Amino acid sequence: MKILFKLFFLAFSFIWFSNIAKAEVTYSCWNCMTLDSDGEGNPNNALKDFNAAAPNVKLVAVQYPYGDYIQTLPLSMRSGTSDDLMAFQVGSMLSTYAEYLEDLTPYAEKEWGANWKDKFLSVGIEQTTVNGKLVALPQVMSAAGALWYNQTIFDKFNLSVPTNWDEWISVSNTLKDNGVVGFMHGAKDSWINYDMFIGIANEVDPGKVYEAEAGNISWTHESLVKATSLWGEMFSNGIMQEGALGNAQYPDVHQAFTSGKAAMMTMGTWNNYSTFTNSGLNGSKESYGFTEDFKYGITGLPDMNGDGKHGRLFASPDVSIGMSASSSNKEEAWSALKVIIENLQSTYAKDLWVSSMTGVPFDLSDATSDFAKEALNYQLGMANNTYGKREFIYSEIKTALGDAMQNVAVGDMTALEAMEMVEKASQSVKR
Amino acid sequence: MNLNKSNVRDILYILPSFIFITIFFFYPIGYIFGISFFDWNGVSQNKSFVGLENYKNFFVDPIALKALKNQILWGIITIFSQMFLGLSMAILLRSKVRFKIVYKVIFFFPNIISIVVVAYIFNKIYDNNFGELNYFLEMIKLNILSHPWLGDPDTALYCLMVANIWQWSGFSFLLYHAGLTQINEDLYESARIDGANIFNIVRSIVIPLLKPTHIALLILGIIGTLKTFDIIYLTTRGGPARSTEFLSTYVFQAGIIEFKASYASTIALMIVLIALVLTTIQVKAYSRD
Repeated sequence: MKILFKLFFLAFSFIWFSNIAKAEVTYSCWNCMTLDSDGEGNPNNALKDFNAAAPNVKLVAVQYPYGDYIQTLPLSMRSGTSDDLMAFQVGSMLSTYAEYLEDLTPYAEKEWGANWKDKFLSVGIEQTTVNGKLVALPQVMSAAGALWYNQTIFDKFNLSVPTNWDEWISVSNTLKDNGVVGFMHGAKDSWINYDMFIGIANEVDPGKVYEAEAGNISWTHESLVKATSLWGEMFSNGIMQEGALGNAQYPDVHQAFTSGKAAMMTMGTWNNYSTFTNSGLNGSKESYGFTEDFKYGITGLPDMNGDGKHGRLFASPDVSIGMSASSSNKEEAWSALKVIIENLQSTYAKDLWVSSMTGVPFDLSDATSDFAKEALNYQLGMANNTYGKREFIYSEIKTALGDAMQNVAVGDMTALEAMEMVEKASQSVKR
Repeated sequence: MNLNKSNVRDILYILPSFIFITIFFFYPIGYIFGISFFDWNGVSQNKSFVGLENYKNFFVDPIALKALKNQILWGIITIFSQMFLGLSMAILLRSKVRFKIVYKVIFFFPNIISIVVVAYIFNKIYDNNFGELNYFLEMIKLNILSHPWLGDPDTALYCLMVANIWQWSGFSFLLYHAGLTQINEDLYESARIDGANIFNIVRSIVIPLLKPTHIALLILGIIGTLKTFDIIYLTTRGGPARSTEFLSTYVFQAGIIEFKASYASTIALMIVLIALVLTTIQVKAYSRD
């Protein structure tokens, strides 16, 4: 009996101490990038790779629906009960929470040396730095401003992918006359409207939109008024589908494009998995109820400034991860963060995410076809040559711009009036 | 105050409810009232006192005023439409008609469907390019009536009203149906003997005697209107161009998306104030009668 008791005590102690030795790091996110577990407690792909790369750290990732996440975050931050690591969107969200986040610069320098920034895409680190403080690290990047097209539809109607504004109008109207939606856009969603506006603005006069955001020029600058005017014209010249303001990018536009009902859309690299991988596309086929195999391609937005070149992509971190300044195990949290950011880039590359670190190509092993591989490589080339960012820092400007774009689209405002409204909001920003 | 045994006992009886109401009603109202005098993003540890600035901004904010106008229009049209349809159905089903139970189920069924499902269905129906409504109009050669229903600021709000009326008329029907069973049948008989037709009976007997039901539906309808959020958020999100924005959706947008907690609190207080004023007026009107 005594021997049994001693054995039991030894076994219990071993189990207890081994669990203590494995530090627990908590992580809350709306897009956990498969760092969480499925409904039955089985680790998803990235978590499996994490566990292999960091056997001494137990990562507990909890995924929230986005709406719930942005509601619970303020309370947990202010009460000091937030998780060790948290996911953020760059821009106004990250700026707002910056005061509660640990400065990661000393950790990065200790881990990767003084030149640690060289390991990352500069456009990512710039956007996770708030007032000189590195408050988060970019996990993966999203590059937007591309024109996705269905080559199968173009071949069917003997059309070429538009390379300039006039061709875009012509092709869209020809497709419409043949019963196919030409270019489909989810104008109900402000976020995709911002992408479209930045894409057009950067085509018309690169960089002016960022100068206006910084308050260095007025939003009524002629190039921004022109960009707004072009945006408005899209709703009457046949480029946009009718009723675009009633459609959401997901699922309406994504479904129509992927299932071959719409020939073109603007989208970004975050959508690669569901369209260009066998596993992702099979999921789309099952959800949307189609079986045909289409050839999807990617190029830049058509030339709008007459230089003969298509538009460039612009990028922001899709998810960036910060560490709570009130975390009680910062060293362990950093260990986990380092693995998530650095060691798992090849995991994210399998799902065709653009890496936040330099020199990480897509993993094309699950690409649907050679045509898809070509499209993805072309996209990656564009993503390595981005110009500017996707996310605005100031929520006042975002709101005003969102309203401005919708008012121009419905014809309630001229382009100049719309930009005057945005300029007024910009002047109210405390920079 | 003399605290005798009886008083103490009375206090103890109401204490749990009082604590509950204080924590979940008075405290939150007081809290948002307090922060409405500040400029605060809802996150930062710092906030700056701005006095009545948020209230001044509310009364000159074109979006807030548009949202209020949308909500008033919504309330008037949906409440009275639901009452009319509910009463009509209840009266029709009092007559000799076969398969009454089937009609009752069909009419009440939308009431039990989740709002998420309702929003999804109507999003699909109203889609301009692939929606069933435009497809049906094409089928019956009425293409000319095809329209971007939710994509046009002139029609979006009314389209959502249709969804709302479809979903909630069954509730009005239920209350009117119950109310009609309370009316003495002899009154109808007497009226018929005096030469009254169905319209006279409805106008002079049914409608006046159903006053308590009308009042109840009005109060519930106004509260429902002020609380309306989900159908808007799940379909148009307040667009296009704020044409379907409500104060309730604007609170969410301002407080959660735009990090303007103080201004959102101001809007929320305005909603509470409107609800209090309207409910007080109705209750007083009801009490007077």
